[in-house]
Amino acid sequence: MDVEIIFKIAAIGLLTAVVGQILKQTGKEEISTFATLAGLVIVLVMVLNLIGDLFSTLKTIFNF
Amino acid sequence: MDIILKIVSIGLITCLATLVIRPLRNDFAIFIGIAGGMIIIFLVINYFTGVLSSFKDIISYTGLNSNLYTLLLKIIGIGYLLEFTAGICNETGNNSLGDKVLLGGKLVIMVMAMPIITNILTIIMGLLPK
Amino acid sequence: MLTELSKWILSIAGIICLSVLIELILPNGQMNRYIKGILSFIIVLVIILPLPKLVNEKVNLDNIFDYNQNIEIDEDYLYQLNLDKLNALQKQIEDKITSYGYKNVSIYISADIFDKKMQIKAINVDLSHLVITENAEHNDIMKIKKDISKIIMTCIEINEEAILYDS
Repeated sequence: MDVEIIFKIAAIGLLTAVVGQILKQTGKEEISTFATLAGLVIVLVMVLNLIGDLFSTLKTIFNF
Repeated sequence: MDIILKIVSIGLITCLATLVIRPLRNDFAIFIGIAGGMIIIFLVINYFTGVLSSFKDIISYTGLNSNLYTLLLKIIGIGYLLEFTAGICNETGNNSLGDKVLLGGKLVIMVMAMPIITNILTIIMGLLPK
Repeated sequence: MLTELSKWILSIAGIICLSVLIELILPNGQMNRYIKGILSFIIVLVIILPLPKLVNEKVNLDNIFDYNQNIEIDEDYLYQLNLDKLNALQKQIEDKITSYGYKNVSIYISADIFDKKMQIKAINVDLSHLVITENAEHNDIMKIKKDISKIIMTCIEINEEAILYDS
């Protein structure tokens, strides 16, 4: 649990944006979509892990 | 004092990171916001357990029923979970979904609090002259 | 009478302190007002709780805050618990067999894992990777099987017919 994850998400966002732009410029539209999708899925998994951790912690604290 | 610096800095960092990312990719900005919020919550969650155990102490000192503690705990917990979820829903632009989450949680709390209201009524009816 | 009165006052003071503290830590949003309303109901209930005693009214207030009347067994938890138990048992038997000199014997216990009382149905013993070390007593496969059955029956209660060998 650290600040790292914010930077990680920001970095992945920047990277996918840049890669998508470059691929689009070179005319490989479909690969660019896949690259953006991959970045999105990676970030989604990270954030979902965070949310799951939070919910399980709350569950133990409030002994549901 | 260490913790307050952490909270403040994480808040500012998250703000700035979303600011940078938002023009590039709007969806990632939302993810960064969620992650920052979660990190702040995780930082203070130990304090929360301390507060809750002191609630338990208050209840045992004053001779209140200990089932009251579980009831209050559950209601607070549901409130927090709902606010998180509804906040995320609203942030992603899904306002109506957030409203529905809140509505569902409100109904659950209502069901849990229903025995209290019925007990109040039975006590008052017992007090009235027949 | 005085102790009753002081108990009453103490409980009112306690619930008011609690509700103020809870309002402090409550998330602010739509739920805030809702939970505050329920807190006020709880305060009212705590205040009027001893009143029926004054008029000697017999009101049953024993289970007034009791919300755990319908306790359910959590299936997932039970499943996980039984799974852990089974794995531990398998490991224990395998270690014991290894200590008797028969290496690489793998055990598989089949049991009703969703039941509260985990009933062991059968035990499969896989001898296909069996390595007999020098401190083993027998070399004959039939005698080895008998030995293993004996070891298993010292660990758990089971019929000899329920121990199946596949080699």
